[in-house]
Amino acid sequence: MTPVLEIRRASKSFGSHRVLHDVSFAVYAGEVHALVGENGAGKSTLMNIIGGIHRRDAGEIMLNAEPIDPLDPWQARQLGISVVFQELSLTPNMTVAQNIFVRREPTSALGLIHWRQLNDDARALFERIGIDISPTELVGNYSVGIQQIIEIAKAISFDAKVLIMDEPTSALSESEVDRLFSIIAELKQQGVAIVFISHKLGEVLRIADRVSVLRDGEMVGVVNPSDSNQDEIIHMMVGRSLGDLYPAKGVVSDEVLLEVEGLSHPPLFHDISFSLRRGEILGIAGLIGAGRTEVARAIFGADRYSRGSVKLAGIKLDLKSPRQAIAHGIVYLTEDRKVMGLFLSMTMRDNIVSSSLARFTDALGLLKHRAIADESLRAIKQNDIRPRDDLLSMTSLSGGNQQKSLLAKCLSANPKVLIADEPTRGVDVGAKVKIHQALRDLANRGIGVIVISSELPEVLGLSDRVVVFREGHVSAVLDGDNIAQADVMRYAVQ
Amino acid sequence: MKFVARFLIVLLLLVALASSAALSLGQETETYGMVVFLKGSEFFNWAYAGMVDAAARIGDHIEVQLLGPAEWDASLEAREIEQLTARGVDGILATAGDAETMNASIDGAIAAGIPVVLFDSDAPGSNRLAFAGTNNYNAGCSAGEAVADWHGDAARVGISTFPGPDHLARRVEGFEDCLAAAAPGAEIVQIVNDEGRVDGAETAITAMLQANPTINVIFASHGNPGPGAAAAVRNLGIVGEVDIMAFDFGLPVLELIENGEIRATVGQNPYLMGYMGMLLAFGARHETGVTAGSGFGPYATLIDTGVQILGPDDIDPFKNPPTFE
Amino acid sequence: MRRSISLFDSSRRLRSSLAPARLLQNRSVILALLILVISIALSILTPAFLSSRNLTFVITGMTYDLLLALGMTIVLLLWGIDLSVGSVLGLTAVVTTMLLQDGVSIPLAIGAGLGVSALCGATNGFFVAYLKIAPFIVTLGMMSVARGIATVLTSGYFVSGLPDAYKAIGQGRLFNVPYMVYFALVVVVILAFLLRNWRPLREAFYIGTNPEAARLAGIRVALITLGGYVFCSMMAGTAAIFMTSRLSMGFFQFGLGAELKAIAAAVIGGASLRGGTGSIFGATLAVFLLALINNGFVLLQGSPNAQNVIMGGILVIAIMIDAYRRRDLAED
Repeated sequence: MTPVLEIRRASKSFGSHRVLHDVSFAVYAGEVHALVGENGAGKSTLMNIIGGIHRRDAGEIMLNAEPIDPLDPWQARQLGISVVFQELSLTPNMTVAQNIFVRREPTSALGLIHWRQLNDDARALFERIGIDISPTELVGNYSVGIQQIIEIAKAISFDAKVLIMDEPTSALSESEVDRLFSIIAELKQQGVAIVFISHKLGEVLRIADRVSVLRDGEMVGVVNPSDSNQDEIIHMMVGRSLGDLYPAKGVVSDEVLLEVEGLSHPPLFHDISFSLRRGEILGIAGLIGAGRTEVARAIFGADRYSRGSVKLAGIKLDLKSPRQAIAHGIVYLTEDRKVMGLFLSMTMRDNIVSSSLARFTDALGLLKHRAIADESLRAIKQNDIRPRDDLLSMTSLSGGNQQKSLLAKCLSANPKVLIADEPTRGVDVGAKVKIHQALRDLANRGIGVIVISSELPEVLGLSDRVVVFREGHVSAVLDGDNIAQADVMRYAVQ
Repeated sequence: MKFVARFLIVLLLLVALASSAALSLGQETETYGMVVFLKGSEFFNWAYAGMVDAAARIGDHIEVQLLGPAEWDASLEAREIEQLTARGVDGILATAGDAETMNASIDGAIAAGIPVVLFDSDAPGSNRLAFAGTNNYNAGCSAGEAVADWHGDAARVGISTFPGPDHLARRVEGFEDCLAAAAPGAEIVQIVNDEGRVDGAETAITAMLQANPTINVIFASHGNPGPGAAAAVRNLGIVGEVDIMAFDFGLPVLELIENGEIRATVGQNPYLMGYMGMLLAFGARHETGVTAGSGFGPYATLIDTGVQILGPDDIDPFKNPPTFE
Repeated sequence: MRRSISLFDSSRRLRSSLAPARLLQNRSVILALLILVISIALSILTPAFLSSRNLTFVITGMTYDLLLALGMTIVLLLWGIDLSVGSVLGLTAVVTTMLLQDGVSIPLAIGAGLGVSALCGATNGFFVAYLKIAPFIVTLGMMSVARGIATVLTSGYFVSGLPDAYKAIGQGRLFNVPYMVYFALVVVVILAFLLRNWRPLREAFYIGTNPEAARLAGIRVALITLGGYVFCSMMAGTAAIFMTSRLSMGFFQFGLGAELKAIAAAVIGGASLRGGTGSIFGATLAVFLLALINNGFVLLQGSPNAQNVIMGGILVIAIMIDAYRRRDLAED
């Protein structure tokens, strides 16, 4: 049997930096082939070469044993290779259907677009996936999670022979992941070859028929999930053992630090109450769209709420802006680091101190450059951001190091309460462990930490208590060391 | 007998004429509107004064109105013309703030049988009956002849203008031609771009005078460079060594003529524009039948209202322009 | 890997930035070299150029453009644009001179003029920062409103008959150089210092790079944006004071078309239409470069038509460089 897609001895360098070396890789019809590796291992470059974004320096791409040479993503799609990128390619101001069928709208003889057919086609596509999304809604009105699903639907709509997905689940909640996996199973039945790139090894082992591991631009090996395990794969990825993914839990004080009472802002969330204690990591679990981010932003003063109260150390706050929240010691780490978190074209130093400039300002409003430089170097060391050059532009850092910089920015503001929204989205395992440890260290220093995550194992592994959100309400507050994943799911969906 | 018969006929004609004149006193009122793109401006107040005088000359039954936006807006001006058309006035005098914008409304009035005469700024693409305004070539020519008068063959001239508007190009052309004709030895040393601004003129003319110390005359092709040229001459400390020929009689130009920094200016005659425009519109309204056509001949007419070179002795009347409510 | 310039330079970076290769990446250095090349060429081609008198007039003539370009740099830095500066200049000129004509005292008339310009800027800033209307739309509206008011106030008349003491502001000299040149240079130095060291202006870089991230980082996005527009308009107002005083008159058409020159100079000087960058020295050098080119044109007897083409060409090239730089950044 010949593979649908085969890469033979591909190499690629950017300048003097070698990112792929002599990599071979094959995927068969009806196979789900996972591609794993730490950030910077070359997964994205490999995918970009297949998808027509970059040109390889050496090697061949074979589609059904024929050599191909896609020059751009559009051409690759015409050949039957569809890539779902981690970065969304959707236009927020166009409708769902318009986004999916952009440049291939059904037209009449006069060249006018058949809007009804366009929307019907999109509806049929969603039925096939089994999700209820309105084709006529603007994409921008949907959450990042739903947008990810629309992106996948768009890729499927090309009648792809090969479907490549880069971190498709990074923005999805558990139930959405289940739905995606059933879509993948369906496509597999139809004979589509699927390349699945992910950091989440649990998911990889669940869905993949084979797993290829990349490290430092080279193919380390291909394993069969049935005779391998997570530890072995991690070992192959990093070339060493990582130890436990989650740090040991600490001692939580009884002192309530932050108290949220009856917070409401219909229709987004209703009557939200919970408390956060000093030294505690409080997990917030729930499906995408359950109102977790909305509540976090309301507490942070980024959005308004209509009723309820937020108390910090017993004193009622009426925050009108993030600036006031930060001044009170409430800091929010956003879920969307590129759009709302970082200043990508600016340097690491500029980013790290962006929330804490008040600390480095004298009475006249003039900045203390020396202290700022010291602070950024200290933060880089503390958070182990690499490379250790704080004058690098943010764009030249990997996802994991960008995320660590975002955390460093929040910590630089000296928080009493840190609300971390998806703190490990799209980062590799190594960075993930370090971020988890950093959050626990904060809690151990007496800071209250709220972690919002769509990865249930992360919420459970990290948190002292878990608040479960469902459709804008708090459906449960779970306590204790051994909260079962199934319990959380039950409260999240029922 | 023959003589008596002839005498009687003449007498009869005279009586008829006199009675028609007497009748005209009790005649129905006629309304004429003047539409400008900047109501209240000094220049158009002069034009309106000319219209008022011409109307009074024709008779008490002629009523005139001054209309137009208080800010520079040709589209509002077009709307005024449309409203006058709707009211069915007897004639319209208009100056085109922007010809393209106004062609339609002018043609609309003509189609409704209302005579439209343009003054100052023409709209040649429209069906307007006539135009009364400055012939820009002739205006430039007058300035050129005056400069030839001042310096003869020794004239070394710098010109301040800006590229684009056709009427400025005509003025410069007329200036060059007539200076060359009247003083073949005179020379246009340089033309600079003042970007249409006073401060732009100051900068450009300052540089020009430094690069060309021989220049002894500056000709400003429009209203703004005159004061700019005076400032440039002041900058270089050569007041009195360079004669400035300005354009129009804006207040700063008049002040500078009075204190000797500007030698003369090219004065247009907006009063005559309004006066002639009124007569033309009235003529079109009341065809004599003597000649065919529009009331003043078979062709649309262009009337040059002329310019006058104004020196220190001529400017007094312009210091107090007429005002209207 | 892309190293960039941090907002918070330490001496470490300053030293490395003096390496020749990095030096050539600096916009101000390129502009300074261009100015040097053009100056040398002009002084060879025409003896009139290198006289201290000519250079003084070049600098005097560029003062208005410089003040406008400085204000525009701050607004562009904030990812805004201000198309109304020319009209605000005209309105301020008319208001100030009409008050003087009516016998109002000089400080009061200047204060009222600057107050009017600040009000225009505050209106722009309020609509942009608080009502979130696109700066292009808001300032285009202000452009026609301010010019319209200036026209209605004067009916197109020149305003003249200003007191001699007022004329001294623009016409007075120290060491044969007009006061206003010193004033502009002081503004340049102070503004450059503040842009480097003053927190609100430092925060403007963040706002222009990513306004939403800036808000979440606790930066007063709306207030600083408002301030930027007020500053920009007041620079136009200041230019109006100098212009009316220097020319001893007010006119509703003062500043016509000045916005394009200001935007061109700011962009050539290193600001981007996409926000987040801008340099005071860069803008200053750019204004000087444009003034030199204009001066050279006149000195070399170039045709006025070609002058317009060249100035337009320079603007197009500047905007192309800006677009190219942005694409470069996006590809990273």
